[in-house]
Amino acid sequence: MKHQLLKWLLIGYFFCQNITAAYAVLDLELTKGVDSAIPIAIVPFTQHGQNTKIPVDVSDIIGQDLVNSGRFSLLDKQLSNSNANTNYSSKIDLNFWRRKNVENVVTGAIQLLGDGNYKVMYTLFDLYKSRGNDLAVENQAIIRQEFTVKSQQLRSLAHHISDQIYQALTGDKGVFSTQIAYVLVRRDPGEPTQYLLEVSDIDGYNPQTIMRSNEPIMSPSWSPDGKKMAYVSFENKRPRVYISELATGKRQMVTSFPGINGAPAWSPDSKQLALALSKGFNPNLYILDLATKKLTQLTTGLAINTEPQWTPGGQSLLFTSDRGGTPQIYRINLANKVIERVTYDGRYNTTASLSPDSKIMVFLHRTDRGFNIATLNTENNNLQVLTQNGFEESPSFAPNGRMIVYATQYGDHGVLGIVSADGRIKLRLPSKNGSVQEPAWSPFRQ
Amino acid sequence: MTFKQYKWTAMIMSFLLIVACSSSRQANHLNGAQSGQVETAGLGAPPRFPGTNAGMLNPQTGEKYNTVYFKFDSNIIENQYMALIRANADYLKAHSSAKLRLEGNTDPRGSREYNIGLGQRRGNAVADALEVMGISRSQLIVVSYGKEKLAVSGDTEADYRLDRRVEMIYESR
Amino acid sequence: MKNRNAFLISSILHIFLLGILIVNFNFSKPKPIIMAAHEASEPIHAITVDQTKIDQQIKHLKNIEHRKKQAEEQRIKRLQRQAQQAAQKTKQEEQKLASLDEKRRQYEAKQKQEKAEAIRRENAEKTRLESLKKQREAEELERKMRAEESEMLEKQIKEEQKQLALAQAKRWQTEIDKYTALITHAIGRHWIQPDNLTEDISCVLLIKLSPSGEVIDVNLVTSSGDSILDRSATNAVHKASPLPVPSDPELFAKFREIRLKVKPEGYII
Repeated sequence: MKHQLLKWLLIGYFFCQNITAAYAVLDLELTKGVDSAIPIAIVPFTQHGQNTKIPVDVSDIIGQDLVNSGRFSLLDKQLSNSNANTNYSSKIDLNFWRRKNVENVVTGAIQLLGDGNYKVMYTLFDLYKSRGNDLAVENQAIIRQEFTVKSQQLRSLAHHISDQIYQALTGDKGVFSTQIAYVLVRRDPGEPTQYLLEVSDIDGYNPQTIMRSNEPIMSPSWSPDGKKMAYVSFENKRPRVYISELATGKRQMVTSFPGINGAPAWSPDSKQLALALSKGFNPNLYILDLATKKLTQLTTGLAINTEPQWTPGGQSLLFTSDRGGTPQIYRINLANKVIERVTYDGRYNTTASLSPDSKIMVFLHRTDRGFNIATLNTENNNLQVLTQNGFEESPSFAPNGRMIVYATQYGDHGVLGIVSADGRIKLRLPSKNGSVQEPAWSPFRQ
Repeated sequence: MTFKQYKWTAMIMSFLLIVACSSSRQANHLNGAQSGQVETAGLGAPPRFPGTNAGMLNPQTGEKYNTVYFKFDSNIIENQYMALIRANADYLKAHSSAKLRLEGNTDPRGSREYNIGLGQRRGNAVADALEVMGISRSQLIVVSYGKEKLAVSGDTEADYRLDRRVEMIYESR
Repeated sequence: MKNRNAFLISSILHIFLLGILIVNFNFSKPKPIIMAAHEASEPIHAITVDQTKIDQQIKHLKNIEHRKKQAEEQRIKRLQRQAQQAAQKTKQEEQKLASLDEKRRQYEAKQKQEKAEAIRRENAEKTRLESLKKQREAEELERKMRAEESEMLEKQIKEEQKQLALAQAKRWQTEIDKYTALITHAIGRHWIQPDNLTEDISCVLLIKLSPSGEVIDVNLVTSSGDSILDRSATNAVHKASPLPVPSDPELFAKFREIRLKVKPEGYII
């Protein structure tokens, strides 16, 4: 019996050898690609129905959003136009688009309905999703959606579509439906200076005024649910911290101690506010329980201690202090009150906050060029300077941790800039009537 | 500024005030005086209207009146301003109901909240100086505006110098 | 070897059996029954012996003996049969082994034949390539004679020739390496790496090519766990089609199916 088994094993072995020799699968490894924006084509949405002009160019807004994120490059509009379909639901010409070297195409349509609403439809195609040249729309579409909205909602719908496309193609949540709060200062000659606390879309559209004053407004801070705003107002010539309810405009005063009441920062659970209070002397950090109004002092001493920011886990605060001689970033552990220094590079580091995943700290860093926005990788302590102007300040993270808004100078007035967290893409938001400062990026819409 | 200059300034200002203002507290205070008369005793500090933006400047230096200026990154009061501070101390001593607001300011460089702290330091320095001269803190209010109320726009060293200041403004006389 | 062992064992068994038989045979011979001799001191009690009784007794004993003998003979026969069977079995096994040997010999012969065939083919290929080379060489010589080439070009050709001569034995492997690099680079150029990867992940694609390099099929064999990375890799292969493949059909056979492991580690500079 053993002989038999051995014989078959031998035969089997030689058999297999012959098979593989005739039909080998080659093993290769690919490790290097290109570091570039994702090319995408957006075909201008067709307009169905009556000849009335659609008030908002939805596909144009989507294109702007995706390009401004820095992660997409838009195929030239001319090319997109030349292949625009007259009928939205027809198939797309796969071969045409594949030749343009894009991986994704967006088509859509808007229709004015009888009741004055608009029906908006769009499809996001992956040109290589199904094999071969199957032109059936269903096989190539990643997303196919339909919405019915009022005319005044068209803009925010466009941003919502941008979010959907951004997330499908990058895996990250889009921030196109979020908002930015900022202080607008109007210094018209002959007029008293006006300060306005405003909130707008991230492309600067739809500005709404929360508060208007003849005295400075500072440090707007969004509550984690996006429904409230804490800020400092110098009305009555005293700096005090207020909280406004954004939907109703109702507001309450939070602290009004003698001296500084400043730098409010919400805890991740929305139950506490960290503050800088001087009570007449130098500012130290305090935590205010919003329900019980109990105040707890965190730092002592004669240095300037200010700009508290909670870490996303809620266990520590980052803050600015010149206890070491020059302003630097420190961290205090809320459980054991141990304070350790975070920044060692340079003689002026302030205004720190963490990305939602805690991996990157953004802050104001002075170089010989001036004041720049910089990031510190919390894992390997790598410092990267993101801006070059020299007049930057007040950085604030987007809620997906990928972009940072900050204030800078353009000409003789303040404007907002946006830079991607890796420094690759930079934008300047359109100027406003006045000087813009102290931006704060809202959380995701809940 | 010398005492003589102060005297003349006070004269001119009194005249302007009588002409321009009808219901302000300053006007009330001066109602008793006849046109052309001058108050001479220890006034020193020309009155400022709370809430007004029109600052009056020394045409030569560009500095505001009744304001102490500071060197870069410093809250040390230079000798040249001690006389001004003393003049205010004298006034406060003589008018126990008078309240002086010390507004601390910085140049536009750097973090806004950190500059609030620096402005507070400067305001406190002037308040300390007044205290040493015998003034109680109850007559003083220190407010820091940081870099929120720059005196001038511009980014030269001369501009920054005019921003780094503590303005002394009477909330009540 | 086993034959001999088996033979030995069976021989020994036989001998042993025989031995037993012999010994047994001796033992089975009937011995005369010796009456116990009594001591003279005791009076002899004579017993009348009945001749018939004696005969009966003898007959009885003879019966017993006969039966014993028979039993013994049967036993011997049985043992002999067993020995025979054993011998038969051994023979069968020997036959089996012999046939296996034969089969193996045939198989080996076949292998030899095939190897010889392969060598013949290779030699044929070599001869073909050689003649190709000779042809090419002839063409190059013509070119040289005809055109006025720059010094660098001449050197290049000389270098190629030298390399061709040197790499003669390793031709195939070099070609494979070359096309491997070309294909990897072609796909890499079209591969937009997702830039939010946090872990070391990789996916595996199975790519089928036509002889012209067209990508017939791309199959995700193993997902990286990140659908964005999977899709970026698959799209890159599609976009890079047609891939550079050798025109020689036997070389191309190596590239017909490619298992591509995609693991982001950096960027093409």
